[in-house]
Amino acid sequence: MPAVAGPISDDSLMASVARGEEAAFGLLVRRWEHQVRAFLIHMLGSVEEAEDLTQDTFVKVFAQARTYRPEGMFQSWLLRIAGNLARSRLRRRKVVRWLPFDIGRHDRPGAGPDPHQELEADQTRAAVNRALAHLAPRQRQALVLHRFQGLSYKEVAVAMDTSLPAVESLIQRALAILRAELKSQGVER
Amino acid sequence: MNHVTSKLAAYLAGELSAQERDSIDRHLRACAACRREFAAQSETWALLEAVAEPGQPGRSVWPAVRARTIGASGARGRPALGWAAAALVAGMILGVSWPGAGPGPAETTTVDQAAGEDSWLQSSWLERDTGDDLASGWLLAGRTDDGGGS
Repeated sequence: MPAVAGPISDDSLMASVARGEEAAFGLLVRRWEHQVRAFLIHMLGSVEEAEDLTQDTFVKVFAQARTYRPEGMFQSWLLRIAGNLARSRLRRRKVVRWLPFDIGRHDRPGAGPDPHQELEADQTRAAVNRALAHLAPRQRQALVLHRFQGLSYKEVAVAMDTSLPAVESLIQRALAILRAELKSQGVER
Repeated sequence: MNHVTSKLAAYLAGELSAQERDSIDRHLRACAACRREFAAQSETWALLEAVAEPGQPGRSVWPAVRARTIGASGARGRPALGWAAAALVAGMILGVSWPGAGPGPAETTTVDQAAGEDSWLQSSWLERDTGDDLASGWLLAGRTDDGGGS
């Protein structure tokens, strides 16, 4: 019976990265960089900062490759590194908790023929972004990992080095805060 | 009646067991207050979709990351090369011949040297790379793993 072909697992690549193999590391970076960047944009609200920290994340991956345990949880491990860097960056901002940002509003030619619909969509995006800015970093991290990165609660718990009930609580609380903020902006009933 | 508001986010997220879902379904049928709360949380959950996609993918960070890791630490992919070069110079000084020295096949990297299981790696990978095709993974005959969550 012929062997089954499939993509190279992240754990296999990490074993090669631990041996300093460039091709494996390049493949790993290119496989995951867009997800890391998207996560960091949601965390920081700044594309420039997100790109800086995406680089830093993979530099840390390389530095810590030998300590990586191949348990099939590479994504959570990777996003834990990115999340720690993001929270550290946020702590350094101190006064300005969140930069004003506009996630989701990018060039979308022909997104809609109706300018009123487009205006309404822009207003909704702006309101959601403002509401997200009110979340504490850990609430935001849990919500972003689950809602935008598609991690299960269990994976979020690994990525945040916390318990499953803590993740459930963080996301429940985040949703309540978002709802209150959106209501105050007249977006929700 | 125990309300279920603290479980509604997990319910919306599809993170509850079948038994827990059934229990909440039953409660929602009987409790108007929790139904209102559920409708509100569903609306918030749906509104998040407006910012789900944070923009166009940027340029690859690989060149910068490479420069800060493998590039910064020298020939990380060829750990034996420095010693080989030093030995070659020493041999030339001492007049010792070096088998295989001189014109010949291009030097293989440690990637290539890892024969067998890692024979899928070829030194020309990155030269052939145009982006997503590489990122999505090359096929490996003989492997049955699932891509590790990618």
